[in-house]
Amino acid sequence: MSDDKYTTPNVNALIIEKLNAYPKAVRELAIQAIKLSEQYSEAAVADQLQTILRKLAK
Amino acid sequence: MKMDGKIRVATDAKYKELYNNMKGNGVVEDFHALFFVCACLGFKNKKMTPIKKRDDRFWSGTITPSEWSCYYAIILEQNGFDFTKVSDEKEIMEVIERYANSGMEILIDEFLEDFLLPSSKKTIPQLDNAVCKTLPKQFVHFIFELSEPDRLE
Amino acid sequence: MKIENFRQFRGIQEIEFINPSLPEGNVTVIFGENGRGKTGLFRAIMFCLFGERRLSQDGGVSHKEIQLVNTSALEATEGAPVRTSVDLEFMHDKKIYNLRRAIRGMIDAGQIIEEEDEKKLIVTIDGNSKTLATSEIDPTINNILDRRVKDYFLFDGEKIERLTRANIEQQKEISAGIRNLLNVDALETSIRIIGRVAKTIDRELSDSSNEELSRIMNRLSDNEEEQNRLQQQIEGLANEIRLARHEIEKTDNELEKFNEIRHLLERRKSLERELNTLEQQAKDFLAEMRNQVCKAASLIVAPTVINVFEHIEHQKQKGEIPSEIRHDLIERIINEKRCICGNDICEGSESYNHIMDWLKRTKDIKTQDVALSLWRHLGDVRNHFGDDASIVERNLQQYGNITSDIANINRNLENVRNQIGTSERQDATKLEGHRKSLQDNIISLIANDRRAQEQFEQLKQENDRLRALLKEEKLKVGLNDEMSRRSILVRDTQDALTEVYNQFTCEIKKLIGDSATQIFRELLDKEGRDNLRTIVVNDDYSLQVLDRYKKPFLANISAGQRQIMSISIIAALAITASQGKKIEIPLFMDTPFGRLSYEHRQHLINIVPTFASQWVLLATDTEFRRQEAQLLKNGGKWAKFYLLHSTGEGNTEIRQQDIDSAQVILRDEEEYQ
Repeated sequence: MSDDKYTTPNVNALIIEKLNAYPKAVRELAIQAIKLSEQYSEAAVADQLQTILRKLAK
Repeated sequence: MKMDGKIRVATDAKYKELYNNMKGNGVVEDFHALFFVCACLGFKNKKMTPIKKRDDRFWSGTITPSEWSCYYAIILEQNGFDFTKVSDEKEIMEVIERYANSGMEILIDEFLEDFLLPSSKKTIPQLDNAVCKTLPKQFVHFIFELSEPDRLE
Repeated sequence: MKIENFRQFRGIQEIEFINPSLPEGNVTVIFGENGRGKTGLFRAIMFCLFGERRLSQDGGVSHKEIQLVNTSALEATEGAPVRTSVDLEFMHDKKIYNLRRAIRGMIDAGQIIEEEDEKKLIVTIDGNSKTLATSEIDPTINNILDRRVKDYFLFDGEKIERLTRANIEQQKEISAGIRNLLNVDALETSIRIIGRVAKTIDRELSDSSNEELSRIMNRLSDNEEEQNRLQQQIEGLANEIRLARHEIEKTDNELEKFNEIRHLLERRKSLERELNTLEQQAKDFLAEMRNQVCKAASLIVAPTVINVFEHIEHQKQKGEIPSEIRHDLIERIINEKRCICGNDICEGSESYNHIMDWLKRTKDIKTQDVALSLWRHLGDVRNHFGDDASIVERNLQQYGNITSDIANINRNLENVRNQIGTSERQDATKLEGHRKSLQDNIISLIANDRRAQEQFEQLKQENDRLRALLKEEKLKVGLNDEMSRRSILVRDTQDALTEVYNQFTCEIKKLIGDSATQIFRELLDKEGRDNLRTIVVNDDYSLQVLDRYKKPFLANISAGQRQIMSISIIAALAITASQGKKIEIPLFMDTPFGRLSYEHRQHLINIVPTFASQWVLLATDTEFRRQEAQLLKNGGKWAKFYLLHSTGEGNTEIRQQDIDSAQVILRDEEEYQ
């Protein structure tokens, strides 16, 4: 396991590292989902994700 | 014996459900076995009944050599050992079908009645699963008793 | 640590966890009866570090219900504010931290109210001190240790106990523990939200004009709902079954108390086992019966078989089958009117008549073949009649024997059950009846569970199929349809996040398992080490111990070994929470010595200090006696010894003791017999 603490920023770094294995659009959406979930309410995040989704799916 | 596998053997349509039940409940391994039992029963009672509503039941390919030889023996004995009567297996099976048909009537009357759904007896006989737990054993017992084993000793 | 009016500790009291004259010493023993406040000291540390009042052992008790202010101090001031504080001085990463947290408590309208008072942190590096801003205090401390894992450093007896039993509590404890370690809240939330978004898009998509898509999605949606319902049902059933089994165990334990029926209980157990075996055999026999059907049926037509066989046999003997002269040869002789010997044969002559006779008797080739093959087969059938009859008869008999044995056993069981039921004590009767209805209940619950699982499995397969179909449809449509593309992307993302989550949890389960195994094997005695090889955290967060053949062995380990196992798991969690390094937070441990063998105790005393920087043993007199004190002393790490002394009015005083005095204060093992 890495030397980094299990605090929020670094767990997410590990997660982001794992997401590198996936296609660009999936990765992008996933990372945004995680980052937004840390800060906003579920409803707000859902809305924002819909917007991002539209952009990515074009 | 040719033992033709391409003959369609039939029973009366009203027994279709019963054949399925007997196989489904593990009483017989397959349809040809039940047919054989019925044929033997019908022959023993010297009764042949033509099928009213013909319904294909199984392929003759599933009939075992032992069963075939019994069918041949039945036809020969019935016809004074006239071998011309066993030259066409299709004809053989047509006769056996009639024995099996009456055999099934006898089987129901003398044995299966208690295991049927009451409402179905007169129409399309069906097994009542609730009482069929030990049917496999009782079926074998019934058949065995019929063969008067003492006479063989 | 300096505490002021904190819980049972009235006034200002100090406790030091290191001994300057024994620098290698890192073991502190705090000795006192239960309720005197041993856990209170752990609470003080947690309160000081995180402002937290609650510990995991508090369960459902609310934050507000945990009072920190010392009651008698409040009473002494007649309700005027009382200051409660904890000062902690500790070292981390070459820095010295002086942390203080204080609250003010008072009585208002008969209620005790506590308010935050002071929060202060001074950090000293190389002799230079700096007081941090209040807002920086919590983040700084959280950087040293995440508050979510604070409870890992208290090994309380109940937690150790919870982990020894293989049940839902154990799984929950471990899954909560691991989740805390991982700190994957954001990931979990995002999976949930993405799922929501996916559902919304699918709903929109299903409203769209594509009929096929709509149909599939509606079907999927219905199935998923049904699956959820089934899942809940299955969980509910599992719970009920577990409870019922637990009830049966309890009932059996209760029944055991009645000495007079103990032998009856033994008998019942063995009868039930026998019954199981026989019922299985009966089932097998019944399945065999259908193989007997044809054999039995051919016996019905045996006379005919024998008759025809003998007829052909007779013909064979007479030379008619196969005929001594071929039929077609005779026909030729007649047609040509010439014998093979060369003589002419005239119609109507004697020779001619003989030959015509022969012709009548012989059969054509085809018929002969049939007759011969029939003769062979009938011979076979006939030869088996005797054996077949025996076999069928024997099988019928054996089945009969088994069913009669089963009936016997059932009668005996009934007898035994009645005896248990009608024993003099009414309670035993009730218990027996209760037990029977629990068993019946379990049988029907298991049947329900099986049905539900089958249905669930079927739905799952159908759903997998539907999802694949759906994706195909979406792809077909998606080339021109943006909404389908969105739908595919969001589902793929959901899958990706779920996979990552699973990978994480898998990795950490392995990590915890490995770490626990290491400690476990060091703690075990030689016999245990020979056989017990690995601790595994299963997918469902339950625990398992594998033996040297890599087979599950948990059900068979002793109580002492179970304790060792739980301690190992808790230690693994604590170590992982400290990023795999030595645990720096003092490890507070309720002494589990009571259940452990001498060797186990020895190992514990030697090994814990290797993975914990400081070890605080919370001891009561039933577990910590002269023997344990001696072991600790021999280890050379015992730095401090404190007694918690009751001073009346529910208050406790911390009294430092000389370690050597332990031999005098503590009792001997024998005094407990």
